[in-house]
Amino acid sequence: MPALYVYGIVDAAEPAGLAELPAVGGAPAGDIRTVTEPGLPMTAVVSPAPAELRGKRRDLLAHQRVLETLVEQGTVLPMRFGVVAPDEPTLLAGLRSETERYRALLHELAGQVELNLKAVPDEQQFVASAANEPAVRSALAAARRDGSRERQVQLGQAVAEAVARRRQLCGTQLLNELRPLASRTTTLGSGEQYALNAAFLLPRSALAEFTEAVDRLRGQLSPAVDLTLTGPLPPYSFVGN
Amino acid sequence: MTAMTMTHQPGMSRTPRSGSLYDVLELILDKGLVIDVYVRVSLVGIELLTIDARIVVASVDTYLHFAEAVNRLDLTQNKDSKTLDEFIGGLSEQGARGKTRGAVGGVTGAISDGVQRLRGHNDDDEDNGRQPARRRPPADRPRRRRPAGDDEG
Repeated sequence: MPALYVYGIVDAAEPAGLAELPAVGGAPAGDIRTVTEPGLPMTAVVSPAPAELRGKRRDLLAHQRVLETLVEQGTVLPMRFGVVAPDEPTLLAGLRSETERYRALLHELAGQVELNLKAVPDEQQFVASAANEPAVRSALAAARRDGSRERQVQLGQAVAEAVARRRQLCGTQLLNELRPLASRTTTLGSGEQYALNAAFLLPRSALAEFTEAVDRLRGQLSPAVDLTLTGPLPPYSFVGN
Repeated sequence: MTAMTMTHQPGMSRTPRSGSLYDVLELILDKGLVIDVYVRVSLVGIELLTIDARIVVASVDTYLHFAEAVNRLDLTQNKDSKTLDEFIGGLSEQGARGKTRGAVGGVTGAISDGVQRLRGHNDDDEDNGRQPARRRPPADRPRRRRPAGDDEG
């Protein structure tokens, strides 16, 4: 029996619109199907697994597109990219053994979608703000008196720390503003390129209000921070593991 | 900090869309459900993508870059940060430390302690055309004349 690439688990019996979508690593259309069995209150969406799974752009997009199609129709538990079941009976056994957990998750996530917000700081603006800090001012004065590389490094370190503090403050402030509008919130591995990188779970009915709030913050923060709101997404960040 | 984009994006960006895959990449690769032991997880070939998305550069190069950036500022005309200052509000060094430590997740620590230095491909750096500061000869940079009297901190 062939291995199956798994996109997600849905509560709907027969999700529509999958036939015309390209599969991960596979044919341009017609490869995606569902797997379930009588008595199982959920359906897995799968396609024949490619012999070797690559993280190619095309594959990642295919994965994402299938899940977007599913989330538009109902509740979906999105799989992480790269989940492959060795065959159909094994996949079904996996679903049976975790039925209660998946059912509870499907129930909890019903009608809800994920939004991703990335707050990208403008470097010049943050450096300018950091330059107001006494520690940076004195490091700058010292560096100008003595132009050594060591002084420059010390200055740069003072700036980097002041910038990082501002990034954190800005992220915290954004979270404080938006958290009350979401049912659940989680921050994602930030890395220094973001002031905030967060996932928000909210009912579809609350999307407009949330988007307006982000638009307002965007206006308020421009040009110091650029806010990118992406979604509605399947609830990747809220299915736990 | 690598991004310097000034793009405004009112409303929501719909995915997938050409160029927006990056925005959901970490979700697709790091989040989402993983079925239990019955299912084999195969991740051939995507290691590099995840590493690229997580580069933390904390090095002398970074510091020199920041030093250059602050040296370029005209501190007598420094109104650039007003928006930010207002948003984060009443920032004093002491208060900032107390308030933010651990709140979003140790970014300061990452900068101070980080030793990871990955060379090569990095989406963010490509997007912004930024290079390590030391590769850039000082003459490439237009520098503002230093105003007199800005030496006193």
